[in-house]
Amino acid sequence: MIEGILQFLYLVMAMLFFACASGTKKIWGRAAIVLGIGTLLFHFAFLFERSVRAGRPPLTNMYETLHLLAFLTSLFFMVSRVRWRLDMAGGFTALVSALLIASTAIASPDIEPLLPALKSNWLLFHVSACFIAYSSFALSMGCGLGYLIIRGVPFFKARGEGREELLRKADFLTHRFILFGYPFLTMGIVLGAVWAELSWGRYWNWDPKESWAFSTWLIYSVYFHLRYLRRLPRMAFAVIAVFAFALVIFTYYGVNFWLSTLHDYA
Amino acid sequence: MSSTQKDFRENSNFEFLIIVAACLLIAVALISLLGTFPTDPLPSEVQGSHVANALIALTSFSGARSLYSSLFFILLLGILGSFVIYALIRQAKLLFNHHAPIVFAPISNVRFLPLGTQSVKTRLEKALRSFGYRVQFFNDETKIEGAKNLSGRLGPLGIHLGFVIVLLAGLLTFLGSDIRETEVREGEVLTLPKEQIGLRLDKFIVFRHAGSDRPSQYTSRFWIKGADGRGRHIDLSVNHPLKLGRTKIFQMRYRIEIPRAEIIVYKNMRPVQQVLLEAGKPYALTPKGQTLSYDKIVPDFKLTRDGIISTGSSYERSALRLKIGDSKGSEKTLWIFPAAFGPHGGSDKERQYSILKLHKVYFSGVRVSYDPGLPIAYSGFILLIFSAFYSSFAIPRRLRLTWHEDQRYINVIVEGWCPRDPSGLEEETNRLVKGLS
Repeated sequence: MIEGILQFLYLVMAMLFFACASGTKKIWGRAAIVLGIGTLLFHFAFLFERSVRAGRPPLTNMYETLHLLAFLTSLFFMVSRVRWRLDMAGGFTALVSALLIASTAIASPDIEPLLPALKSNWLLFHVSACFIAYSSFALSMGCGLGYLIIRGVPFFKARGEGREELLRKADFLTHRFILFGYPFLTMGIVLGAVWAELSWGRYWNWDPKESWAFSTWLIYSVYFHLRYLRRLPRMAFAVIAVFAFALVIFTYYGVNFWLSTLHDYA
Repeated sequence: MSSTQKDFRENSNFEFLIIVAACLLIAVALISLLGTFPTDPLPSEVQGSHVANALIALTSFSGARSLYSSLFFILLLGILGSFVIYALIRQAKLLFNHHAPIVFAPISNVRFLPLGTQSVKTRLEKALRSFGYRVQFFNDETKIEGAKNLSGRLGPLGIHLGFVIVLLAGLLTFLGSDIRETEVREGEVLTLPKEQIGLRLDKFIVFRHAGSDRPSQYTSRFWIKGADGRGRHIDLSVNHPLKLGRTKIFQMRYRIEIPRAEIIVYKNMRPVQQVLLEAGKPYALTPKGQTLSYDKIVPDFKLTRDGIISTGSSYERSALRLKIGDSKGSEKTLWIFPAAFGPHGGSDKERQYSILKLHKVYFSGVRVSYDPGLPIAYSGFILLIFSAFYSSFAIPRRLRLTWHEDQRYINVIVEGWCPRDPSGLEEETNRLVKGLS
């Protein structure tokens, strides 16, 4: 029931932001913001209530982390929108949130007691750092997709901003969100290694989850290196941001389903 | 060679290095992923198995999990590490060379009307300061420069250094670590060869969540003799390793064996005998010459349409398959349950049975680890985290504002230097220009 409501709200939010990005009427923007704030408050209340009931933050299983990622992604967009407006990215991030909420259908919503391996203070830091990074990368993907669409539509215009201005802003925001997420991803991986050392006796096990997270980190490092190449078109960075987020999603979601990993409980 | 030619050559060289670095990073990323694919082909009846099997065949050269300890992969990491060291030296040279030229790139031009009392210089200085720039003046009265976050140049340096340290730690771990897993039975002694000490597992305890069969913690209670010759108990739990000298012990898993089971024999629903059965040994029942033994125990059983299945491993509620042999040599099997469920006799009208007690023996699965690379890895980790944050949130920038006045307007040329975040510099300059014009 809750998932249905949240999915609906995020979908409407996505539509409103897309309408706002492609239209000239201010009403879409205002409606999107009001709905966005309302949805986030509702989602926060749900997460808070569950945390109180479980007696721990919502970080311990797939169901909880899907909710958390959906919430953080939209929250980061709404916060960043105060300073930088790129409504198309808002449309994509709300869509990502809706898809994440839809994905909770395959995870058990039951509050289960914690496994001994998860009873550690590192859980909070490792998981929250990773999810801050993932949310930020989701936003960079939204901006990257926004860039590609604006680039693909020759006469794209938005309220008061020309196409070139929008392209510049999309590129800037793509970079900004990757810059924000990268240190958190580094921290998430490193704290995971510290926790693995305490729990499994080795700081690096080449577990599929670790290998995929390491590869994701390397791909974002490639992104930063390529930024030094002035001759490379900006479109390349948008493509990398979208591709790298696909890696992030596989690291988070796909590895648990398709590969055998020590992170099975996650 | 002119300075322009030299700059061009330097720049081309730098771009080439960046491309090589990117290619190396992509190669390591992709090859790391190859090692995560399964190696066993899927059965053909599984949907999409032909695609999966084609992928498995394609990646089989990597040797899957063993890829990470292969010479090929270690060499690849070695090449990456060497390249990072080279980049590190190059960065450090640039950083500490105060005569290195700074190439400003034109960003925008701005024109504004002069203000009455305020000089152009003061106005531009104020604008730069409002964006957090430290302003530098020149003898030339038509130029000022601003710089901020210059210490942020240390960020990438730290990331590269941290990464090299972690790679070195990994090499040291690979070459010098001694990590082994072992199982200790209750009452047995775990010997740590590097420390010349032994720990006796006195008890293995499984703590459970209140009102649930789910374990909340496993603890191995060891008995150890201290340096003063006095013994003491120490507990080893999941996520709480023990450090003894240079060796660490980790609680990994546990296993239960049931070497003995006590059962009650009933006659016409009245208990008549208590029998202690040992695993694999038949017990002769008097006076009819029957023998009892057991061959299977299902922990935390559940009765389903498909039979008896296990739902856990706590052995709090177990079903036991009893084998009843008679004097003629024939044998029949019978599932029996704890006494609380009542005696169970199957088709035997005369005798019934139930479980009184299962004698559990715990085997504690521990990992004993000696890893000389660990302190080095931790130093690399700390450096990586701090440098990553510093690198992302302190981006060095320089702005140069040059102006000249014509009859009516003041024309300002804005040039900038921020190789790490040109779009961010452009964004900031746009705001600065808006404020000026």
